[in-house]
Amino acid sequence: MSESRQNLFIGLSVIIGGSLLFWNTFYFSAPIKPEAPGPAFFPRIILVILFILGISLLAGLLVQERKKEVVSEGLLIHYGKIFIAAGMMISYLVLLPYLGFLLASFLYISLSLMNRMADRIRVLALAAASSAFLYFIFTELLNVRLPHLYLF
Amino acid sequence: MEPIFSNFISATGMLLNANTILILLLGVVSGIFLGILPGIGGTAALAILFPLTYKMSIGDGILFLLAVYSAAEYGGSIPAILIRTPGTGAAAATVLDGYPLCKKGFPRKAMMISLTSGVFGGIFSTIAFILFAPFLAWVGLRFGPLEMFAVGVFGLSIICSLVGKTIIKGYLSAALGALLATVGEAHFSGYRFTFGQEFLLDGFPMIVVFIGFFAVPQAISMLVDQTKEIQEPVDLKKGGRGDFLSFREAKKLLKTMVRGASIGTLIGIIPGTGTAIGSFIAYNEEKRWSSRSEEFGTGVEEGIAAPETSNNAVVAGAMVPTLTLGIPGSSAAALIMGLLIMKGINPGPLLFREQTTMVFLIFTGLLMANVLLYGVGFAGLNIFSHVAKVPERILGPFVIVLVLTGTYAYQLEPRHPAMALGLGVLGYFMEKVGITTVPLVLAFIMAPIMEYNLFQALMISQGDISILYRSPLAAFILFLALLSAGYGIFREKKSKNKSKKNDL
Repeated sequence: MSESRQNLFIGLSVIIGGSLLFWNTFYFSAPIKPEAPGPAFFPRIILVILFILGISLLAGLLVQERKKEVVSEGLLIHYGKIFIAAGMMISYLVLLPYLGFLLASFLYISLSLMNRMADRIRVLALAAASSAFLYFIFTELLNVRLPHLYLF
Repeated sequence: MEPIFSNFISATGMLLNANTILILLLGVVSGIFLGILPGIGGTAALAILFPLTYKMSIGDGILFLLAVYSAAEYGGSIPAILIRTPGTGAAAATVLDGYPLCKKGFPRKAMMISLTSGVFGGIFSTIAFILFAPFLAWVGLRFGPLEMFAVGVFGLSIICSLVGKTIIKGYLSAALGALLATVGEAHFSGYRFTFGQEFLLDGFPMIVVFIGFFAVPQAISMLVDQTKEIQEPVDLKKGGRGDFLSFREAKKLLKTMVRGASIGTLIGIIPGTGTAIGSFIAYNEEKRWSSRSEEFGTGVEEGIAAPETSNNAVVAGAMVPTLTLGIPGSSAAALIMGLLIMKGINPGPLLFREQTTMVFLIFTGLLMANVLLYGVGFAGLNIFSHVAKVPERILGPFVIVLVLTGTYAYQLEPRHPAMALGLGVLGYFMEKVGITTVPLVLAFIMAPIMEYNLFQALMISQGDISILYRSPLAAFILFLALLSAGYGIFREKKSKNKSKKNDL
């Protein structure tokens, strides 16, 4: 996505989202004293600022010279990869209470490393060692009770 | 002077116990390791290790984070020198002369210059901090709630003007951070933006925001973005003759180090600037001052010493506005400020009156962390050069598990890692579209304090909003905030014109 399209998207999201949130502030409770600012006072100031910023972003697009934009490699968004990575992270969090920390972490780390390292034995060893290391840090050094299965 | 000295002595006494020294040592070693790993900067290192402070006392937690912060800045220079890949943003300036000196056959010398100048910068700025911070706190004590609100606006305005791709996106990020801080129970009455969801009643915990915006996006980037293949580091044993830093050579670099440390300390005091700006300004200034300016970029010792002194000097410099005015001097300082708030201590001018021991513990801890950094850095030259071999792509999953577990460990609340993950994905996209998350996190921390001060001021004035410009001091500070915004616009226009000229 080119920078101007990104700005258009951000500007519109800010204006629409900001307006909806502003509308929501009318449902906040009343101030404790009539002369005191209520809970809506500060968020409304921020939302007005956000609205102005959204408009400025869109106005900037109107005065901008039209030219072909090249997106550098560092700014490229690999949606497919992000989708897979986010899916794996969400699965890790969902499975954590059922599989326990050790097994869930071992599975997550090893699956994530599979397409990055050719040596499968090394991947499994690395995943086992790093899961055990983190388990030791949190349970033994920080006294944190992590989710665990009967066996793990 | 006498209270400074006596407080310093009592803080030193508190530090000299095995437990605290061990914590500092752990902070230094882990800071160097994380600093070396490309893709993990000083702030991300702090965010990743933040969960380890839960069970520590407030003093130990702060000392641990300060040790990590100082050490990560040195650690970042190691891959910059050995494999031409800066471990932290600040170390990008070190590459310019560090790598050429290494290629000439002096890798150990380059690393020793980096270590010595970094430690010098750290100690120099800590001493400056000891001398100037009480004065700034004294000034801050004269401020009422309205002036403190104005100071908050000014601090945020500077941050937004200096950080980020465009000034609008900088302010946008800060406004989003401030808005995020309003979620949950309001200061004085009722709830805001909870949308009937129970999990939003307490708002977003600070740790979730820190890890979500500073650590998770880095880890996602390691998992999905193209990373450079790491080249084999130069073997330190193959260093040429005279591959070490002699006392005479170090003495020759003294002027450079003093200049770099002064620049770093001043840059650190300006809110939101951080180590990268400090190191590049110091490098450019050194090049301007040096009689060998045309040799810069070919492996000149001063070209390593200047940025390295400066980036470590920023660490203590950034603590000055953080502790005296409650405005984080850098994103890493914001994390340290967050720890103080989470443990029930409010940074600001009153800290110097009510928590003098804590303040001096921080001063002394910074000095001690730098001394330990020198010892550990010197002893571990060979070991650390091997850490630079660890490729970024295999670190991602490990970092994800560490930070998500760390978020869970805060209150054993399964929804916290999920929230951190959600914010992390948002943070990743924000960075991709040029909205840096630094102002967001800083505003998230500062907004509740600003709102509280504004509320107090309006209560005093019986709700009269004109009080904002009737107080001359507050009006002046708000005018400075406007000026900083104007400077940001000017800076952006100038850089746009420059790139237009380059295109032609």
